[in-house]
Amino acid sequence: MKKRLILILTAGLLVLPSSCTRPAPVPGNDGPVFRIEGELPDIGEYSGKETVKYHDKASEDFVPDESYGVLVPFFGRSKQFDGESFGADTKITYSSQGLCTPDGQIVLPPINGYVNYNDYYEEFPYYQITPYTDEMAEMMMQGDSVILPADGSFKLDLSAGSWICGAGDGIISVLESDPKTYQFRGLVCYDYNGNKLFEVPGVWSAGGFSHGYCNVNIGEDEQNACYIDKSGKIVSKKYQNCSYFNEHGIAYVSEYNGKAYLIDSDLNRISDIYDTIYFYSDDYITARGIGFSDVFSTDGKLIASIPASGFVNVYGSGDDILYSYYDENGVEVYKKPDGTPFVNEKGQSPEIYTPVQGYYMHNDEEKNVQSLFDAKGKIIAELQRCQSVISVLDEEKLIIYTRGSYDFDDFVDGRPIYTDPIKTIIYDFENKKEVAVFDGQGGVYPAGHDERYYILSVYEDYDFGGATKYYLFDTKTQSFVLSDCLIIEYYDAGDGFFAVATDSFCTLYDAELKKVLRLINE
Amino acid sequence: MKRIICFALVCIMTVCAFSACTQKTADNIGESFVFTEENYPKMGGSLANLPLGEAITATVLDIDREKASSMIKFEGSTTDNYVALVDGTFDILLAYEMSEEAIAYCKEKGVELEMTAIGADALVFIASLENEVASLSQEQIEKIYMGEIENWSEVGGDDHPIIPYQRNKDSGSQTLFDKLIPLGDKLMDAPEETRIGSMIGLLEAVADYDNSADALGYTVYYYLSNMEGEKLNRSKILAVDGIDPSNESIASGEYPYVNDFYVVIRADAADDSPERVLYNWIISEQGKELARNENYVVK
Repeated sequence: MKKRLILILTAGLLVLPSSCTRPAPVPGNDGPVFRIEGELPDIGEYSGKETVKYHDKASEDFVPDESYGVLVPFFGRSKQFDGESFGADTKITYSSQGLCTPDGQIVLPPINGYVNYNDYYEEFPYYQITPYTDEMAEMMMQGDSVILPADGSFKLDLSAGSWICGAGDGIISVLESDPKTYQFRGLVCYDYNGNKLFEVPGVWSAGGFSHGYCNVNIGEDEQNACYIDKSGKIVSKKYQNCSYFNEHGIAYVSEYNGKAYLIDSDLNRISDIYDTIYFYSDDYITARGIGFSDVFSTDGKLIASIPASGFVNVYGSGDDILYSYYDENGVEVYKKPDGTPFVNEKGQSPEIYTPVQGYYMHNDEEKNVQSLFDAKGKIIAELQRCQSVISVLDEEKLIIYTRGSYDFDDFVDGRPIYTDPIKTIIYDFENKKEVAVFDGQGGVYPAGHDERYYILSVYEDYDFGGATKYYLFDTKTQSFVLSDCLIIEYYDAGDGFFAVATDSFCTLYDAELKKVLRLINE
Repeated sequence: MKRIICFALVCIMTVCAFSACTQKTADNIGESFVFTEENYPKMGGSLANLPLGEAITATVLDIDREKASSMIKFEGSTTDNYVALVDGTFDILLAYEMSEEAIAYCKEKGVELEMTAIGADALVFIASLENEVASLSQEQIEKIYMGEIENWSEVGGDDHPIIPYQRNKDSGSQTLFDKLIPLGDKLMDAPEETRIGSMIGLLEAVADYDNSADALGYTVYYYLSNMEGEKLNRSKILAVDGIDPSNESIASGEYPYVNDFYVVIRADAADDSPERVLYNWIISEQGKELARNENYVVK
């Protein structure tokens, strides 16, 4: 008995302590736990130096300063209008933009409106800051604007509806509008330091100064187009229409009797008289007569005379130049300079699609196959159900196009059910493989230096204005370096910057995609 | 009889062992939780806690800090963040003291919060580098903000008026100020131009104010020294009662104006909810180690 008791007690001594060594329970923790095995990972340091905080001061005006150097737009937060009122939640949007310097100085906290960077006029890249008017903010009605050069050294205050119509010859031309009627009431000209030079009342349309002249429309006469000089004085006769002077000092004018011709910068006629003349592109001038059209280079040299009764379109240049026009049967025909039809290697002619960057397309309706070919007629890809070609990156052998159609066979809850929903495709035509496929209608445009990067925007719900997502595609690596972004914009200010917004904050990158700044709202 | 005794002893030990096993089984309900980007709690908080929030998120999800920072939102005032937690916009906060407004909002909504102090920070006073004054006493600070001391010459500086900046009422900095320097109604009314709506705004005002030698402001130590350090090229932190704020003087309590910051969740968060699991991890030794790595003063 004694031995038995000792054995039981010994067993008990072994059992009981082990049953009591469970860890003391964590108060309130009867659930799962998280733990990292081993050491904490090295996550690097907080990059506080690169983070800039901005605060809302919607009423703050831009303060000019010669020391800014480069200004870059960034995206901030604004309250959302739900159709009745503005809610309490804020969201990063296009309609909330501010300006900062690349080293993090906030020079304009985000406004409820927009900040437009415009470098169309090479001599005067500028920002136009346009807040929405307070009382019309929910309608996104634009208020008075502020114009400032890209370096922020001065500002011009413009009434609502006014806009810069040209910048050249050291003169900024502004069409000023009446803030109540939004009708243009005259031309106001400034120098590149923001000093007012002169006004020309009554001008309601204008170009910019070039070769000493600015083309304007003034007054109510039927012939109301003319040229003014750099003092604002009218120095030409009145025309029905007159263009700006191009880089070679060539302009076209038309008179009330319908006669059109080219003039030089001495305002002398230098061409035959035609029915119509227009600057077709940056490379050509086309002039239409009876049963023919003449094509000039932009320096005024006649390069072709096309037997066509309608307008002539000109594509390409040099050996790749092509012409299209509508024949007597209303069919658009494409011709080479020698007058022979332009067709691809299969003998197919281009369709009515607008050619993209020197590429043309033939549509085989029966097979629903679209052949894409170059100006020599070489077919580079045959695409299935191609709805449109957005871009061709020939060096990278990539095509960006949309596939599918807007045909639908049913409605559910007021929304069409598409038989072949639109997808946006990046296609490698050399290796005949799809690099990426997105649901939805996409748009793409080059960004950065040397067109290495492309900003791709995709909106899935293209009927109902759903959210757009942005991606940045690197043609060199054929990969997406940024995905699912709220906003991606490229500004050619300074050395070039990308502004990339997520739901949380906006990040600025330089043109090489090195992070410059992160901006968050306090 | 002897058999009965032995049998009873065996039964007793069996029951004990079995209940212990059962207890062990209950403990094993503490199974591993895996965080993913999909189940990660919505995290917000005070701006000065942004580096910690970023570090926690990056560590827990095993992602880089850039990605982590896009998943959290440390913006707006501290009060806004507490309101957002009550409303469900956030699941978990890393934040400073609750303001009276935030407390009132919780009561109004009938929401109870659970919070644990995870670190300490300090209310520090800043002035321009041009200012000769290097230290203020607590009494002097109180009198300045009551309007009873108006000139730097009264505290050992040049004959210049003191421009005492303040923060907006719903800010964590102001809540901290009101708690540590409870002047109540005696706090002077700040003109609109000296009541600053943001931490960075106040720092900029002190650093860049046209008559910067006159400015006096306050902020939290971690934010200034770890997140806006370049402002110390144009402004300086004043000692209080001769004690300079530092991690050591804050940890020891030698610096007088010290207060905690917290991790906060809604009290009704389930035991197996991601926010509860993360909350528990943040207050664990691993969480504290991470906070130390981020240069916070840990409780």
